[in-house]
Amino acid sequence: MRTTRKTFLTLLAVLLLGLPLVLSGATSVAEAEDVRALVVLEEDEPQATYPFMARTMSESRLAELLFRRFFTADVGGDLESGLFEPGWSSRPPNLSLAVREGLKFSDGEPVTFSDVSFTLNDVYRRTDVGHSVGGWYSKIFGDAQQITPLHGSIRFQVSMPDDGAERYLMTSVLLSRKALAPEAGGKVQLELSKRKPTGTGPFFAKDTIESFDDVLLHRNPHDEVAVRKGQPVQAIRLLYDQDAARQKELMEGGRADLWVSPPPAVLPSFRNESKRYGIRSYDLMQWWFMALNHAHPALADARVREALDLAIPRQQLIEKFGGDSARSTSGPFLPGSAWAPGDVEATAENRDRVITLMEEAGYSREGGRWVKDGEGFTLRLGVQSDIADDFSDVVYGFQDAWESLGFRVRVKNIRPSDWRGKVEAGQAAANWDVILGRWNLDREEGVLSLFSSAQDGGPQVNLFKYSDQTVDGIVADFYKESSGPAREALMQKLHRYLHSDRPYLFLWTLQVQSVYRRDRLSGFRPSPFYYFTQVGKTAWKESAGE
Amino acid sequence: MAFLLLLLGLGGCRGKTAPTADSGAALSSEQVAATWLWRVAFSEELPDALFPLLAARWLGGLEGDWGTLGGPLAKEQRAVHGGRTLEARLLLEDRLALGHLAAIHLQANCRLARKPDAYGLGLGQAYALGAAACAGLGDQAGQAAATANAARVSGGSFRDPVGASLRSVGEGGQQALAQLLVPEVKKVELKGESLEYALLWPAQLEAAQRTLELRERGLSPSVQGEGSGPVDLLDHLATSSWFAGAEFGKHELLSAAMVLGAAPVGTGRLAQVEGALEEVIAAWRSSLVSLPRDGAMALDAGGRSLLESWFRRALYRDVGLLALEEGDAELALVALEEAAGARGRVRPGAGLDPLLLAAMARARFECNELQRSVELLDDIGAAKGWEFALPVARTVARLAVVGSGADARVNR
Repeated sequence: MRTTRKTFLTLLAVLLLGLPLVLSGATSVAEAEDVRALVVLEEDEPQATYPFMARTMSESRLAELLFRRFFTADVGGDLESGLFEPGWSSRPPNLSLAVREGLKFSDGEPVTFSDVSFTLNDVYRRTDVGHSVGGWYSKIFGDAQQITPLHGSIRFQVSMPDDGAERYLMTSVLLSRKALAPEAGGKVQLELSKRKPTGTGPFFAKDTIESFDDVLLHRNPHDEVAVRKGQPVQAIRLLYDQDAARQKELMEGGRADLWVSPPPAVLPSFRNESKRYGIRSYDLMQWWFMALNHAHPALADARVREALDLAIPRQQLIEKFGGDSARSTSGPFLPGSAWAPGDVEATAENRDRVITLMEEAGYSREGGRWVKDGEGFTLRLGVQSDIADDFSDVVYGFQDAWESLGFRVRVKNIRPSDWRGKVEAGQAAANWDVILGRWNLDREEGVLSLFSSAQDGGPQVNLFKYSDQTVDGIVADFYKESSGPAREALMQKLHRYLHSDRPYLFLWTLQVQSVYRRDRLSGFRPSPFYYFTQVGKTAWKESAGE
Repeated sequence: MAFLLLLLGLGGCRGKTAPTADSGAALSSEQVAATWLWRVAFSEELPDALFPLLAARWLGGLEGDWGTLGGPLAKEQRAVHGGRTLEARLLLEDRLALGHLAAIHLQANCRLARKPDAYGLGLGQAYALGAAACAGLGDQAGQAAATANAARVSGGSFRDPVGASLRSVGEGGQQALAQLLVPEVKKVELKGESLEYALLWPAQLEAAQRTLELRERGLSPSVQGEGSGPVDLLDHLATSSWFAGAEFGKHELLSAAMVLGAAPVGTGRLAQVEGALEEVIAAWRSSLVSLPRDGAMALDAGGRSLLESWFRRALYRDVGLLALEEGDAELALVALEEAAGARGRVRPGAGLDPLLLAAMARARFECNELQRSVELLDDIGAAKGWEFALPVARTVARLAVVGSGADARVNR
């Protein structure tokens, strides 16, 4: 009896002690399966998860969540690395690096030197694996035959004997040899792995990404959390391809926490609710343009291009963005840039001059439209679809301004698939005569590729294959030149030339600001261009909203 | 009190109804009434002659220009009780603003002049200026590199051509102060383009700061003679010294310094401070909501909104300024942008004072948001009497386009 009672009490104790454990285990499993996700309203649906294949900002931002770059600029602009031990040495032409101890990929595999050499040799330097950065890496690594692990560090050759060679690797991300290299050998299949990429970024795709319009990422369990107060964000859900009206509804309805790029006109209503919403500036060089096809019979005439430029009521259109969000631009370099000459102004609307120029070009107005030798023309205006959706008043503004002065315009949206399939494939001229779009740059030097006739086989960013000897000469001279003043003079010359030759009608630069739920989140700050670099510092507040 | 009537909707703020308190520990009515916010809005302490200036500078609601750097008050403003206190504060904040711009200038020039290709032939003086900037920062390696660059392009060494002549400056007049900040302009013809290099020497900025400091000291005895009343209010208005410097109530409503003191520098600080700041704001909001529905302390929604916006701006402004002094540029940037209303483009205007904007330009610079720093510096330089910000902007703009070597990204 005594034994039975003892056994019974023991069992009871086990049950009483064990039940909460079982229950708590059940709860934690449930929580793990149902973690609160930070809902982010993004732009276009991504087609790529690897950063070297990104063509849109939403793709670049997604990649920043999944992968860690070799080197990043810290707040003050100095380089830091989450991949390599501090104390790397750059002694041209060598760069010696040691992978951080204990670093793992999101699948739990340890990072080794082999992954670094694989990343550079088997992916970045290759020109046959489906990306377009191979040419650039060939320039950087020049004749270096290999990048190999050596004596506990990575040592590789950089053909440019310049101080700080690690700066060349600020856009490179670490890839996993185990996850990407085919077992049977052969080249890497990036397309096959894009739905479940393996990286060392702060988040990872726990499950295969089935649909790219709604992407759920979980916190990389092997990445350290940098939150001091509140709860770290354990999951991020990115919603793509919704128009601004829908995004506003989601934000106001409490179903989203962060809106990356709202149209500036909606910001005042959020600004007025400072208890609930915060607004953070996103340091992004964004400028809007109208690209002109110089091969079009009418647009080949510089006077017609100038007339179209003078017909644009920039100030009036800028007002549609609200406040001081937009500033007109006069060329590819932004106002205030050392490369934008101070004496080149943005083109001001001048309707009288439009008529004079068209008449000088041999056109006359018949039935309200410009006609030359009995022939009129209609411009096929292609508009990036997100601009058409979210800024339709701006698009109407262009159409109205041009048509009121006798230019016939037919507006056609360019869907993201068409941008990839037609514009980037070099087929823009077959479909459109003018393209309204916007570029986002991390550095101003990026604009050179937009106007240079020498494209290296990747997706076409010189939209209508603009080709001009003067421009090509300036670009070539720029790359040969290292003197700051000489480069500045060349770029000012380029800006001036492009302003007057008009491969683009330069419109304005827009200050992008994000809206977030201040009552739910703290520590959120977008990093320049890459946006999510510091996302690990963002935390849920302890009493995080409703 | 025309200003107040304008701001508060013809006195409609003293409401008949008030919603219930939402959260946070509320101050008592007496404590609320002792804050500078309440006193500025509803007491008769401050002379009407000063309101337009206070609104244009710190509170918002009325447009007005900044006035030239260190410029004197108008006679009628100086004559009123508290006028000289206000003038002393303006001088102090102008000097601090100038200090932030000088800090950007030193850092940008030092960083540029270290680079062998930054200037090239004919611009040895620019390297020498950079060497002086590095010396001002205590950066010996930078100074040596810049000096070597100067010697390389000019065949000899340069000395700061203006430093010695500016070591002893007096208060001087307004014109003399403006003259101190006129840069030497070098023109270079290159590749068919005409480039301008405006050389503003560190010694010029130091001399201007000393001049402003001397003027402040010159005012001090008179300020002390002004006694209390509006004086403490003018000293603390638009800051997080809520009770105008008094000990009263300060533990019930934290200042920026107290919030920062509880959040040491390090990873995760931004989130911690942000959370704490919003708690302080919630406490103030709660205090306003808890005021009696009737009587002298009743306040309607418009009044609460105004006092909350002043409170928010002052708290974030102080946090930003303190964080910048601590070297926490990221927190400073976030806080100062918030204080400026989280606008897309910030420029001199109502409630956006020189110290706030100069500090913001510095925070942007130190956060490596160089283009945005240039934009703001250009806008500051467009204000009459603040043109010396333009050479600072040009230097930062040149730094922003120095080649990094990285693959330049272009996305749609």
